[in-house]
Amino acid sequence: MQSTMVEALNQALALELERDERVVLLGQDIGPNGGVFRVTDQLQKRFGEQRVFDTPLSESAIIGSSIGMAVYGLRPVAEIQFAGFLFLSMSQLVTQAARIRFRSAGAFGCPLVVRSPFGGGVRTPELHPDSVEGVFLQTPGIKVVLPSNPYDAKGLLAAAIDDPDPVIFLEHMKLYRSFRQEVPEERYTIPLGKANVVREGSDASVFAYGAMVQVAQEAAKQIGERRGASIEVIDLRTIWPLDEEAIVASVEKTGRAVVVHEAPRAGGIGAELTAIINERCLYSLLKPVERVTGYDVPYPVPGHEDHYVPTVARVSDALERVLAE
Amino acid sequence: MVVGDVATAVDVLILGAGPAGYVAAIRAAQLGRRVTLVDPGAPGGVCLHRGCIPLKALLATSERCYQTRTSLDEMGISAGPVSFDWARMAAWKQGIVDRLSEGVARLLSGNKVERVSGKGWFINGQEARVEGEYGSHRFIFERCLIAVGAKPRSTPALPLDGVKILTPEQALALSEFPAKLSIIGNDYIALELATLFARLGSAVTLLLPGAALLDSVDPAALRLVQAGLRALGVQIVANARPVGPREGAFVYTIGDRSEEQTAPFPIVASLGAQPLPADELHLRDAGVKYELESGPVVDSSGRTSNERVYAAGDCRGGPTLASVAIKQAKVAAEAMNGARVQYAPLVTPLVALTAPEIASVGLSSQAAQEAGYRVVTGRFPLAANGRALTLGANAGLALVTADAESEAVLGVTLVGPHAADLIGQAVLAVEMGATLTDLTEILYAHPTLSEMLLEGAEAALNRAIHILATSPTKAGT
Amino acid sequence: MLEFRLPDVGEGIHEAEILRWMVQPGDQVKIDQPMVEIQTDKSVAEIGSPISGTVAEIRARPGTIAHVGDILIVLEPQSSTTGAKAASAGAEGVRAGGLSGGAPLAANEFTDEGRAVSTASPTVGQRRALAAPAARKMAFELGIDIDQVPGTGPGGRVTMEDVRSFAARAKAAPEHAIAATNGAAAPGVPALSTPLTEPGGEQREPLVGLRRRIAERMELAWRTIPHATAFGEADGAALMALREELKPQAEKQGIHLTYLPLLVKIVVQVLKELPIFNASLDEARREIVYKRFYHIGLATDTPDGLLISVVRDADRRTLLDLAREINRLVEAGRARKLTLQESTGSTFTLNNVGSFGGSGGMGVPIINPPEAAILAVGALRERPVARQGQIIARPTLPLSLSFDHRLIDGAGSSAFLARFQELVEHPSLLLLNCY
Repeated sequence: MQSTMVEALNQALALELERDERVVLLGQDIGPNGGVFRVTDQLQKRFGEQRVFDTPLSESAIIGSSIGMAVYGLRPVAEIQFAGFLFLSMSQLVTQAARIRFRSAGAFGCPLVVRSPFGGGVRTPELHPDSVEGVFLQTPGIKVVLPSNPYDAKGLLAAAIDDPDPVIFLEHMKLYRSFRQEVPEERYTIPLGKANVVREGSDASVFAYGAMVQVAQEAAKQIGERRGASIEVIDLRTIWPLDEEAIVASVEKTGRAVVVHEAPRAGGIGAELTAIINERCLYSLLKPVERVTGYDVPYPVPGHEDHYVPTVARVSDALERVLAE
Repeated sequence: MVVGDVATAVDVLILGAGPAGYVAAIRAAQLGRRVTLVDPGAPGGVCLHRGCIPLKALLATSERCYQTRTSLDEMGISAGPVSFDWARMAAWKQGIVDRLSEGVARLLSGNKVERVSGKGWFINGQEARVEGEYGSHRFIFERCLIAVGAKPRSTPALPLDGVKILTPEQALALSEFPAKLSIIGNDYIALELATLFARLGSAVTLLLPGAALLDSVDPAALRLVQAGLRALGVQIVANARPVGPREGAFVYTIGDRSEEQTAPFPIVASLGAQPLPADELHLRDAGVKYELESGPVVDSSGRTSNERVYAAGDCRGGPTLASVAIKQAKVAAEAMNGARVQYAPLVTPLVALTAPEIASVGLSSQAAQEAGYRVVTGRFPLAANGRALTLGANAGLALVTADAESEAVLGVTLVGPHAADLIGQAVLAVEMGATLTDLTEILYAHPTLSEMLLEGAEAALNRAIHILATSPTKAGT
Repeated sequence: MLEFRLPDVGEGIHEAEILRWMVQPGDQVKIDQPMVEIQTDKSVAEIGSPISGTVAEIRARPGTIAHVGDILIVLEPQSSTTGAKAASAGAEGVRAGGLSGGAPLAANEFTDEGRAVSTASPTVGQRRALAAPAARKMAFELGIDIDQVPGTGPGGRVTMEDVRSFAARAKAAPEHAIAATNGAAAPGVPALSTPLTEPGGEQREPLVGLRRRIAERMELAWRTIPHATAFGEADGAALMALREELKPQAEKQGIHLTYLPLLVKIVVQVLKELPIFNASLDEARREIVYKRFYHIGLATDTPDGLLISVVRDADRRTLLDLAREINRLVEAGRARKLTLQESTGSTFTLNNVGSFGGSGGMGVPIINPPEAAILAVGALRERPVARQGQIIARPTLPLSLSFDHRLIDGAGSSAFLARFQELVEHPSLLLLNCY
């Protein structure tokens, strides 16, 4: 049926709650209120307070207690109201969750999922739009997943909950309700760590994720019409672990690469991809890798955010540069 | 939303839940679309809440009141003194409005139409913002229907203030029954208001902008309506030129003469409607072409210059009739869904629930001649219709105008009880290209008012039974 | 005045040759009365008059080529007793209540697209069609001006059926009065050519009529399609036996059963398995168009040249159906009575050259554009074959498959021939896939 991302996520959570009694949901306002974006709408009514419950306003407590639940056999899915607030639980995530398996030499695992909305272009106040995936890229032991559409969101969330290790599941606010897509009613999973080729091409590769996938597709279409070039667009879907094989295969095919992300430039996914390409398929490159990213400044106020977030024009310009002789 | 301006994708977004809006919503839902209907109030629009329905309700109450007062005795019935309580009448009227409104709300929810409270305007060609009591929404729509209605026209001479110079809606909502009332206008609303208030005992002055009560209606028919108004005590002034409000009364002149006349306050200005200014909806941002006098520019299916956006109803600047709005709404809903349809009725019925009622469709005899037809008109007086007399009515007539060569019926005017309900048969006849023979070949129930149409048609063929022919019969007809 | 133009009948036909007129200026014509004979790609058709009236002027001269949209003839309509005027009826009925001063309301929705199609400003003498609202709605839906539709209802009323048939006629004018002419009476053709005798013994004849058509198509095929041809041979014994078995039953049902229906059934099966052979190359868009329908063209020899007759939906016909249809088409082809539908639109062509004499096979057939391939089948007769080291005589069927080398390679053509051969040699295999 035609679903928005919010509806798809709600379906995924309901299916997991139904099939696995170890799954619990916790977070601020997720119970009777159904979450500020209604992702957990009606779930407490269906599954009861023992399975879906509200927490106090304390990110470290939410994550800390989730870690405890996870280590002792439950499968908690914690919601942090906005990804920018994850920093308040960094110690729990980095010192504890990421290291439990390592520290216990495999005796204990931490099958925790942390869901959090983020993303620019929707005029939110400070900290709410911040992209944090780059920070967790540098945190070994934690997986980061970032869906770009309702179908992927449902499958990736189910896979994340299945995963025996901690997963941070980031949901771009702009995508929550802005379009509908055909989403199967039954449960299905999409494997983590596998990118998706959303548009095949042979002249240049654009790597993107989250809300930037649509931006990349539009730029690819425009450049395709303008220059007759065939542009490949790859949705990374999982930020860590990156699907290196897909990245390398695409660059070996096209020889030109552009990476697009909202997150700031320095040390971001773009930098990591460039390094991977350098290591594994440098000699396939015909031009340097272009990065179209947010800037290395704190995320701007709503009035200026349209200058910060990568636009179709900026991606098209980057494509023009890599395609130029 | 808690924070942020997150856009929501919707399928069909309809701005306005009046007759055009809610009918389009239901039709679109029938065609399988998901509909989001926006209105600051309850569904039903001006028609249901403040216009048509309240007006018809009060016409009914005033008619009962008047008839009980005046016509029982001759039928041999005695009853005590008749009085009315304006506030309780208003409450009864409101009860009907509420019931209809609930009915519409049930139809909408039964058709799974999502309702959003607020007023909307366009952000760009594909998005609209809706703001209401409960917050602000940003919608990305596949299709949008503008059905926001129009606002009452006011002129410099008649600045609407809601106290001395009223709109018809305001007149219907007066909390105190007015002992005196002036009305300026020559549409069905002006005539109906005059009828309703006069029946209840108000001293009504009706100022007509032109010479006639209604434009383009046969003068013979209008004479009967005028007589009816006069019998109710309405003072009718033709060719009134409004000058403006003064202390204590409204000033006007008559024709070319310069002496000032006065009419008592409150005065109701029934001058039709004008489309909402384009700024209100930010039409330019949506790429919708519009004209100042007639609103958004549309094609025959209601589509504007933005292929996702349609318009239906009063906002299109045409006659402010719910029948028109409803049909335009259905056409727009079907066209939005890809059907090749157009709003192109041949004729529009026009009715006024005066005393007697008048209803007309198609060309009047004069208009038909001006259009180049050789015309034959049958005229049949109500007094010759048995049923009419049993209703105690005897002022009225049927006029059937046809093309002399082909006999095709070009227009019908009915004056008399229930004319508004009877005109439907004539509308069908004109639209289907019926001939006088078609009308006269079929059976009509007897005795009923519908026989007026039969005998009017027979009169055009010079063979009506229940009147004596005034010209020699044609041999072999 | 009605200027009648050569309609577009689709199927890529853009022009027609005017053969002869059956009416002349001043004649009174009734609607549908045949007025002109034209020749389109290989078929001769008559066009009937679209209205009743008088012939004012004939614009397209016999022997010339008219293109779709060219005016052929100008007709003066007969003034009808039906109808009343357009638009004014609507415009007048609108005036609900006036505004002050009596300014007329903008009746924009009443003189809009739909009405403007007939007449924007009605004049005396212009009649509007008498039609029920449902008929008007249908006319609009079909994109027709209802005022142009002749009405057959009482008093000249336009019924739903009138609207429908007007729409169908407008789409396929030459077809609707198909009473094809006798091949022998294609009088315009010989009359145009006067053979000249030059000193030295040269004789010239203009390329006209069917010959011209064939020449044009051959030029097109050879010029644009890179041909390659693969040859094969199938043992015909099983096929002969099968036909012998089936023939008596077929005769009982009045059908003369040749090999052709069997070959058509076999070829359809192969096409289903190897869809590229039932495809076309859309040269403009550079796309391969795979057809999901199977219209098999059969080459028929006529006195005037080679004609293709088309068995439509060959995959949905029984063997007897095919036989019946093929026999009918062959007759019609010989008599030059094929309609446009019956002579165009094939997706694959089968050419039976067996009856031509000579070696009875092994030629290089030319593909019928825009198809992807053509199979020529030679004479089924005894030829020497090698079996287990011995030369024996077996009835064989020679096969020549020409194919568009842009779409099909050698491997593909071999696969085709192999499978065709297999089914010819074991026709009972057809049962596995028939409905």
